Amino acid sequence: MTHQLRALRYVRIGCADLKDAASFARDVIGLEATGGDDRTAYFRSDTRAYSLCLTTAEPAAAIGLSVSSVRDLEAIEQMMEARGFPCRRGAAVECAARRVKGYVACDAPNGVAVEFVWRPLENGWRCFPSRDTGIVDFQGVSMRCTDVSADERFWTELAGLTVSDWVGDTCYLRFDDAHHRIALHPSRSDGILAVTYQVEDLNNVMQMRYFADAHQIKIVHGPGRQPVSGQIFVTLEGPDDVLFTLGTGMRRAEETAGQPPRQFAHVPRSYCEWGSQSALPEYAGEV
Amino acid sequence: MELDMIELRDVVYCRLGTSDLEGAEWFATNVLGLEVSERRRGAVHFKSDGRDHTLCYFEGDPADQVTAFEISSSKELSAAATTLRELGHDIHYGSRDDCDARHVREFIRFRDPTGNAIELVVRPTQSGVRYHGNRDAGITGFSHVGFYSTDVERDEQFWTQVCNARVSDRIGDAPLMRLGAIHHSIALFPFSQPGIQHINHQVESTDDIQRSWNFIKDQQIDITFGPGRHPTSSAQFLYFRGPDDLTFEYSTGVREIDDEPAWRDRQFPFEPRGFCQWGAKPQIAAFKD
Repeated sequence: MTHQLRALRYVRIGCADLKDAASFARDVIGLEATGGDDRTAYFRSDTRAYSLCLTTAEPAAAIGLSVSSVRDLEAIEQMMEARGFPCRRGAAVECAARRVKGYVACDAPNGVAVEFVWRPLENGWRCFPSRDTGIVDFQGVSMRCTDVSADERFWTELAGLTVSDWVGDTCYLRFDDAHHRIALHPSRSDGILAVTYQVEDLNNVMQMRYFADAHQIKIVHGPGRQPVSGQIFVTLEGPDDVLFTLGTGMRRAEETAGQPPRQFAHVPRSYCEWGSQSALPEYAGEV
Repeated sequence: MELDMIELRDVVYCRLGTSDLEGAEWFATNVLGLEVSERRRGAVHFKSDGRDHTLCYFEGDPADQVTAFEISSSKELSAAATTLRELGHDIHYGSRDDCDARHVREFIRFRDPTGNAIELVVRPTQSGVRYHGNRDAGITGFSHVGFYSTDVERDEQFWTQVCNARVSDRIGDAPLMRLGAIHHSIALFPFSQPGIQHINHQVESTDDIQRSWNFIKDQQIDITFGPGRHPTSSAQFLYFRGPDDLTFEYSTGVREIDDEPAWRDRQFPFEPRGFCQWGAKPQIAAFKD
C-alpha cells in the first residue's frame, strides 16, 4: 500500500439511549462532553476535537484513522475497490459530522466502518474532564469478529497494520509506536468490543476499580496486566454492549523492535498475568 | 541520671505462639510464601530474606507474641537494660538456650508501656543462603510491625524519646515511625489490649501485590484491606487474615525519608482515605473508628 497511517482518531458507537450512554462516558469514564445534538454526542479525552462519538443513528460502529494527505485517500479508495471493498467518500455534511476535512470509508469484514480521514480537527484548549480519572489519551479499539482471519487479512494486507502478537486467534495490531492500537477477537458476534483510554498510572486504574465497586458498575476484566503488551488495565461494562478499558504502561514498539510476533495460548493467563478472570469468551472466560 | 537513647537498628523477627503449629506452617509457606529455615521441637522458623529467620511460630498461647529489634553491641544492650530498668520496666536476660533458639548472640526482653513483649538482640545471625519461597510471591523481606497500643501518645513518647524512632506521619493519633530511611518500621494503633496488629513483608512489585490478591482470594482466605495504596508511605499494599486472626500485609514501593532534618510529619484523617488513596475500605478493626 502507498499510504501511511498517522493516528487513531475516533471511535463511533451506536447507542439505544443517548442520555444513558453519554452519562456513562462523562460521569464514569470521565470524558469531556464536547457538543452534539439530540442524536449524537461527542467526547474528548486529549487534544483531539473528540475521540468518542455516541449516536442513535444507524449504522454507527466506526473507527477513524488519519492519513497525511488527500492523495492517500485516493490511493486507499482505488486499492480497496480493486480488492472488493466498496468505498464511500464523505460528503461535506458527513465530513462536518466527523470533524474532518475529508475521508474515505469502507466496511471491514466484521461490518465496522473503517474511515480513513484527512485533516481531523484538533481542539486548541486543554481537555478538562468532569472527574479526575487521569485519562491522557485515546489508546485503542478492540473488536469482535465472527471471521477473525478475514478481518486480520483486511487490517494487515489492506489497511497496512502489523501483527504484534497473537493469543490464540486474537491478534494485536500496530501501526505506530504503541504495542497495538487495534485488537481483533474471534467472537460469536461482530462489532466493537472495547474502547481503551490511556490513563496516567496505576493509581488511576485502581481508583477506577474502587469507583466501579462503589457505584455498582460491573468490572468484566481486571484489574490486571496484559501479558502481550504489559498494559495494566481495568475493563468496565458500558452501555450498549461496549466495554471501556482504562489502561497504562503499554510497551512501546521500539522496546521490542525487531521482535517477531509471538503466539500465546487462548487461556485466561494469556489475557491477564495478575490472575484476573473474565466471564467473557473473548478473554478466555467460559460463559 | 542522663539516660542514653536506645538505638534500634531494625526490626528482626517476630515470635508467635499458636495452638495449631501445622496450620501455621501451612499458611506461612503456602499462602504467605515464606521458607522454612529450621524445625525444632514445637517451633518452626521461617526466612523471608538473607537473615537466619524473620518469623517463628511455636506451640503456645496465641497471646504470646514477641517482636525483636537489633541493637548494635553488647555495651549498648547493657545500657538499654539500665535505661529500661530505671524507667520501671522488668528486664529478662535471655539464657544461652534462648539465644541459641533465636540465633542471636544475646538479648533482653521487656514489655513496652502497653504490654507488648519486645526483645532487643545483639548479632542476629545472617543465613548466608538467599531466600527461596514455596511460591512466587516476590517477597524481598520482613519489613515492619504494627502494634496495638492502649495509649498511643504515651507509647509514641516511649518509642521516640526512650528509643530512637521518629514519627514519619500520623493517621489520626496512630504514629508511623521510622528507624532508618524506610517510612516506617513500627506503627501503633489504638486498641484495648496489647498485641501485634500486623506483620509486613515487602514484595518486589505491583505485579506481586496484584497476583497475591487473586491467589489469596482463590484460597478462600479473607482479604481484609486492599489492594490499595497508602497516602502516607506511598506503598501499595494488601492485608489478609492469617493464623490466630493475626493480619499479614504485603507492600511494595515504600517511600524513603532521606532528608532527616527537613522531614515534617504530616497528619492524615483516621478514615479510609487516610489509609488508602485508591478507594479501598479496611475490614480491619484497628483501622476503623
